[in-house]
Amino acid sequence: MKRRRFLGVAAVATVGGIGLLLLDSVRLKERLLSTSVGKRARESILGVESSEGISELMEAEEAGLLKLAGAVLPSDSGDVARAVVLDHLRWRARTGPGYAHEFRRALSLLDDETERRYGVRSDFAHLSGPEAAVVVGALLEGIVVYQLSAASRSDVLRLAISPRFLSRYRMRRHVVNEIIDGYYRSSLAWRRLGYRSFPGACAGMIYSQPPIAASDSVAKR
Amino acid sequence: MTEAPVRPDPVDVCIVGSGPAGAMLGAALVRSGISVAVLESGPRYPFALRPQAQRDYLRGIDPWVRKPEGLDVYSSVGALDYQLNTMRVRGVGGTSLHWQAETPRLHANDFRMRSTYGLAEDWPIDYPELEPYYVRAEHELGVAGGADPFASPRSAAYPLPPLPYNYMDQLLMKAAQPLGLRFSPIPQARNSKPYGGRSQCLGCATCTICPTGAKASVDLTHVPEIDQSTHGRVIEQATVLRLEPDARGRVRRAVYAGLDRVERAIEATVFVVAGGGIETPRLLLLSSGRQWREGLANRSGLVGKGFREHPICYSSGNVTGPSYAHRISFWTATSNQFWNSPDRVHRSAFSVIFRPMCGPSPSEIARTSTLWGDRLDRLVKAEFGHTVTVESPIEMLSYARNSVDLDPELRDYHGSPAPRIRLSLGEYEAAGVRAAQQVHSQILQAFGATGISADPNVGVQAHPSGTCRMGSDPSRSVVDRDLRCHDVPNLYLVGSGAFTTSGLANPTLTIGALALRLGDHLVSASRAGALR
Repeated sequence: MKRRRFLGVAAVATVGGIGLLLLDSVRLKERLLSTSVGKRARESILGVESSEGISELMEAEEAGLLKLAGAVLPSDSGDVARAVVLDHLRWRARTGPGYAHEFRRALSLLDDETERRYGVRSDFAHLSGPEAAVVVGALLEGIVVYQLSAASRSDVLRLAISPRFLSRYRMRRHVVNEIIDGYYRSSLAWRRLGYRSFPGACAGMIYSQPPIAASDSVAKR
Repeated sequence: MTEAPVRPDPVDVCIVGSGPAGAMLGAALVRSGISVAVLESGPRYPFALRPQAQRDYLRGIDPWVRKPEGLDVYSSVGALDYQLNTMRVRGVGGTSLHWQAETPRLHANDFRMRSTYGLAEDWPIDYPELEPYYVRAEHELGVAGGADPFASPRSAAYPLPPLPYNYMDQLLMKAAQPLGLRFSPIPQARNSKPYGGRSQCLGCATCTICPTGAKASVDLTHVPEIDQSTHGRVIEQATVLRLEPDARGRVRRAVYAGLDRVERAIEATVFVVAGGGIETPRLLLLSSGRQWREGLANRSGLVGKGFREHPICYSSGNVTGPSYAHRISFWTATSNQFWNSPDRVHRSAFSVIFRPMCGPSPSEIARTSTLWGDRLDRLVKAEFGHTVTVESPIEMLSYARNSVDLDPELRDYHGSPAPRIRLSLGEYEAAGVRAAQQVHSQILQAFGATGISADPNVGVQAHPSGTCRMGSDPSRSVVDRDLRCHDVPNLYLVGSGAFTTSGLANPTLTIGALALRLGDHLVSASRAGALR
């Protein structure tokens, strides 16, 4: 009985959330989404499922996430930056309830797309770099991580009725963005932008001097 | 009702709050042999944990966690949404744990606004009287600073040379020079050289959590002196619920509770509330009773009234060349040229500063793009670092409509009514914002920026003040020139709540100077036998 009631409430929240998002006025949507009901509706659709808890990543999962990072990050970002990214993803899975689950869900999506593309039951992690890029591209194409209140009606409808679109959206939002966050904590990423190091690296008083010029050759070191 | 059990060890002075006001006062008192207990609502944050906390902060985790959350409830009902919990830290060291450490002095004119500009009130003390205490506070905190042609006279040099200007600031200052604008280093309690046993600043760009200790915070600069004294102690996680009177109308004891919600009490000869511009008036209002129906020390009705902040306005523009933003998270240059102009009669004083973290970060650009791989890399390279933001802190007057009082419905972890905050700006501040944004536009144009826009949103700087004002007239103020409550002879209030006016200066150095001055007053009283 409790479960039925829970499911009923969840359904109402979801339908209500979709209804909210289909409204035309961005300002009205913002206001409604900022209410506690609106927040719950939004999170029930798009938030990390914190009830899934935390866990360590397995070696095979890490390999898959690194393959994904290889496709998301610049092609010459190198092992150092990927090590920083992996450290970030491990930390996120270990400390952020729901993230390990999102990572696994994304890996499953990547494996499905791999099978669809290449016709064999194969792990995404074992694809070559160019093959992985094709798979990742197919899943990320057209996905916009917007402020939800500004989402277009068509995106809202697709989120609501297409589980695949929702999965792709979640991968972009909860996995790719974590990879990006991890990458921009590496000094290498900042050197590519012409800075001497990652600003959080306690590099001394160099902020008073001109940064070095942006140079890919520096990044390749 | 059963009385809370009293600690068996009464002290000369009980201080509520271990932020800059409470810690600097406490250290000064134990140095003179006066016994002190400092009651702090929050926990200790050991320095050894800061490197890990910095790593967490870089991953988006607030290092100054608030547990239980119910301690920090509040409501904001004014025109400006006051985000109190992003502005304070409940812990040993108080808000100095996460402050920006900017430590300018008030200008001499800020103490005589009524006499000079016909506005607000004059302080019952003046700048020359507080100046020696400014010097002491600068030495105790370790302030790095340099000459400012618009500042009031100083009797001693800063203990540390100024921090070098941010490279971006150097470029902007050069562009602003033909406009006749003069800039100077922002004084700050951040070590430009090793000082006080603490490291030189290493430019970590995470000033909210300084992993090196180069940024002064009173848990490092003052609390150890209290801890190590035989007659001083800091009692952490002790939230003061109310102050209780004796038959003579003096405060007899402070009742506090820890996370176990069990009430305890401590007795002292003198009580000092140093809880900041919000919690200090709240505690006075929470201490109402048969003797003090409208709240403790509130015969004037001014406790919590006239709440002020330092509003801040912004303007941004785009540049084709690099702006060199996002290298550090502290501000280095200021122009105080617009602090004391004759225009102050009809519009707020303002200063001009350059935001070091302006425009979106690389991560923010990448997260919201639709690209990946090398195309994403090219996008970030093209878009990052082409925004410049000029800002102006704005002076604010006291208005009767702005206040801190008790929320009739919302209660905190201990069941006490939460603070309810009302804040809105007036035409005086709006005129200051307009004047500041004209200057911003001139600077940005001189720098070659395009797409210049003045942000319509005005923020605040987490400088609550004015809620227990200092004055000579008991009907128009809460505390006297010695920070003693007009109505309660053994109760003192120290902190920004006592500021008669706020000028433009970040409040902490003035808070420290007032705390040291109060320390001298209490030491004198002690020597005269008045603390026995």
